[in-house]
Amino acid sequence: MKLRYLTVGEAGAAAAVPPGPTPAAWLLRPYLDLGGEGGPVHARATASLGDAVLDDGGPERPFQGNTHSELRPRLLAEVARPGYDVDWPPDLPVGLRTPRWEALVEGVAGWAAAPPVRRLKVVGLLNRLGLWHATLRLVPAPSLADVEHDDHVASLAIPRVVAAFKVGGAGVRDDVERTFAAVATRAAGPPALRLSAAVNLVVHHAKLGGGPAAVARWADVAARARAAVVAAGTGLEAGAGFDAIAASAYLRGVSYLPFLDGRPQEAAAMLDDAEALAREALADPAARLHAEENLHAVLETRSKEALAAGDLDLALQRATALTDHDPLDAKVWAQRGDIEASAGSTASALASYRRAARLGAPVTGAAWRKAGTCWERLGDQRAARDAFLRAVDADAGDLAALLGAHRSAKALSDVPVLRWATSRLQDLTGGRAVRRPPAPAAATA
Amino acid sequence: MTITPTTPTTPTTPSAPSASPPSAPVRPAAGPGAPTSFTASLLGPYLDLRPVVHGSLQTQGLDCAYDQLAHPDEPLVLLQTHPAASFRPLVVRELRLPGYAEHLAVPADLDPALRTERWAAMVEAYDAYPGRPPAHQLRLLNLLDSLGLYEAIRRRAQPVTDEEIDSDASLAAIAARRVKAAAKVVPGDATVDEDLRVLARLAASPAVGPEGRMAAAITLVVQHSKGRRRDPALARSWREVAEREFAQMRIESWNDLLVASTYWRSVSFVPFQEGDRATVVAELDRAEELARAAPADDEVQRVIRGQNLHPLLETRVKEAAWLGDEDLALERARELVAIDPLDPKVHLQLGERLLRRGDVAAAAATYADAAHLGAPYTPLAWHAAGRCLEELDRLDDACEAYVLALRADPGGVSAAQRLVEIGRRAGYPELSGWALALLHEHRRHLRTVKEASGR
Repeated sequence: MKLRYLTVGEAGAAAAVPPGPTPAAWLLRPYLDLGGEGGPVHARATASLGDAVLDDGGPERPFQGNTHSELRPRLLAEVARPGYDVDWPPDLPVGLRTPRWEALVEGVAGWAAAPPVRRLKVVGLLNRLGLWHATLRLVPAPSLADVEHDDHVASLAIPRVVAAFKVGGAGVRDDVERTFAAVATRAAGPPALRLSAAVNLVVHHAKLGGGPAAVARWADVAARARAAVVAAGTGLEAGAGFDAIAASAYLRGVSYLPFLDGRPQEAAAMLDDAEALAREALADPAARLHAEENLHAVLETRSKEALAAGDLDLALQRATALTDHDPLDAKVWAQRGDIEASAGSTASALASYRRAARLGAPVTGAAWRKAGTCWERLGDQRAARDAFLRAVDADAGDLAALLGAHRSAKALSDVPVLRWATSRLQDLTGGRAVRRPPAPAAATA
Repeated sequence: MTITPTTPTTPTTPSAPSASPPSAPVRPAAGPGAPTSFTASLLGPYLDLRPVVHGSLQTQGLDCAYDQLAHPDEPLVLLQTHPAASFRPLVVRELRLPGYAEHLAVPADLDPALRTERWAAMVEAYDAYPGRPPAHQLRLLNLLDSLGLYEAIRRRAQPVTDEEIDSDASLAAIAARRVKAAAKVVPGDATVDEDLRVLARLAASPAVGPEGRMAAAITLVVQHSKGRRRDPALARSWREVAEREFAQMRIESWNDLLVASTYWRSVSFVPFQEGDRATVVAELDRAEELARAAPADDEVQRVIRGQNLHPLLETRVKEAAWLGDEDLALERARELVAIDPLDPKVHLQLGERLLRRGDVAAAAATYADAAHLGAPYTPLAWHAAGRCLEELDRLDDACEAYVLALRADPGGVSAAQRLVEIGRRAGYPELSGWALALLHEHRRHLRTVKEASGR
């Protein structure tokens, strides 16, 4: 076996972005500079929104998903190239910009004179990139009266509150709810806008424990808005695929109501319809990427639905369908690993977590930590230690990973790692006792 | 500022606050960009001169070098390890801590907010250098040498005339440091020739005594025994000079034992080149006997003794392999790991021996051990681990090893080429695609460089 090692050395590091020092930096490149074409559905959607800003002709075609709050910071930490760490698009050095990014810079610079559709595209892209502060800088906080009377203000209010929530978290929850409510209950204007706000409120209250009454109220508002959308034919103007996606997204959102009301079969029936519509939309080439994004969301919800019903086999079947559908998305592999781990399939879970960790941000650290736990269960302390070390490398504050490193180092009598883990735990906890979970029980693959 | 000596290696954490009020801003204990990983705990002293908690013998030498600066009246002991000029930049890059200045030329280039008290003291000593006596100046140069800050040495060390080399031992040592640093920063015929010229002058200097002349002569033996300046006849003639000076030396202190050990290790290059196996073995036996006889009664002695035993055992591993005794080579490689367990290179050497014996699984694990200890061998170690894992048909593991190799060195052509193929075979087209994109980028970059140079 020849072990000759060739390198272009520092030149390689200088040229590390693109394509990047990790697979994630290549697959998620749109988040760095709006370059690249491949990657998971969410990254391709981001690139597509970049195209929409670059080719300023077409209508706005927003995507449903909100960018994971941790994606951008964790990706930047993985790439470790300070030039890319910007909050404001013009701050990206000129030499690092792609044509799409240049278009975004122009969009930001020409904000004051831009027509409403262009503004929506620019803000949609900023949110997609995780540049929440840039959105807040461009879009002033609207008054509720303006939201009521001005379609444009109402349209921008939604991405603005999403950005505000991403930055401010629970501290701005009331403001977020008030703004969404004001958009959802407008007396006039586009029904699709009201529908979007109402469905957002259903999901928001369902996820954050707003109570069945709040969920029911906004589901009712959403139903009326949906009827108005259908009556106005808004969806059909966009094309069959987009219409199916809109219907699918609506059903997925409002299915929370029967689910929380203890009517799981009704929720399942709605989700069956949502899934059928999602698959139907894939046939429309004009809506292909939006349809892929929608099916991703539906399959994710369906896997959670099966988990909530205690049906691990079905949950895994759906999680597997999701990894088949969007195999370059790190998060879906981590989710599949969680289900496999719950089902006691430690070796399968390990394979899924390792794939998630290799795909990278935003789950790199957590996936390595969980892989470490799997290796502990399988009795491979050495591999467990290495995985825990990689987890801490990705997320220095991950106490569970540090505890794992401490456990495995102790089992291996690895004094340097043990000493380091002890010291880091003391640093992070200020010497307070940390409740140490017992080491995972041994398992068979 | 008062230079505070190192407290003998108490297991303090790297980020523990200083007991005395800091006279310079103290780096943040943690947070984004803070060196908190296990690898950072091993290599952190190279970033900012924090006290060594644990690390290889080379890293531990930093504490000794700093203490020598802090205690200018203590006797000077010679540290034997000298990192490559690329070492600190590799540490900064691999730990992904660009704030610590990958291309730091002089100590003051480090952001004041990231300096430890010791680093701040080094900056101060660097600024005060021109007014210090040569014996004190040398201590700063030794510390800079231990950190691999050769550009700083080149800028700070004053030119020394041949007459000064002949008349002042400290100035002679400064001259040697200066030309060695130049050869590290700008490797090439001119700097290497100047290094050899100064060494030859030192080997005849009346000021440095027999030990200093012998040290210069054995360095010349080694220089003429390998690499571009290989010249067996010259190596032999410098050995004769070294023999004469060595004959005048008296072994009186623990440090003398190590000097003598170094002598026998170095001069054995000559019989090695001449194929005289019996003499090589006898001289290396003598070197080992002296190295093991050196005491390790305190921290400095322990580190210096280890720093001598380490390269000696490396030589003895190679010697055993040369003699065709793989069992002995493996035994010595294992001892080397036991002596310096946190040095990645010794694990690489053990991996090589295991591989030669066909123990691919053990070699893979050993290469992974090397990789976990960090710069400068991380990509090389992961690449070697990947090749072993391929051989064992553990393709998932091999892919992971190549990904980690490329993470440490995105310029790694070998790892990228393997990942293109193994990623496909293992069913990970995204990894193959990424590796292919890296290779395309390398080709594009090399084409640009070629065009720019007009070739």
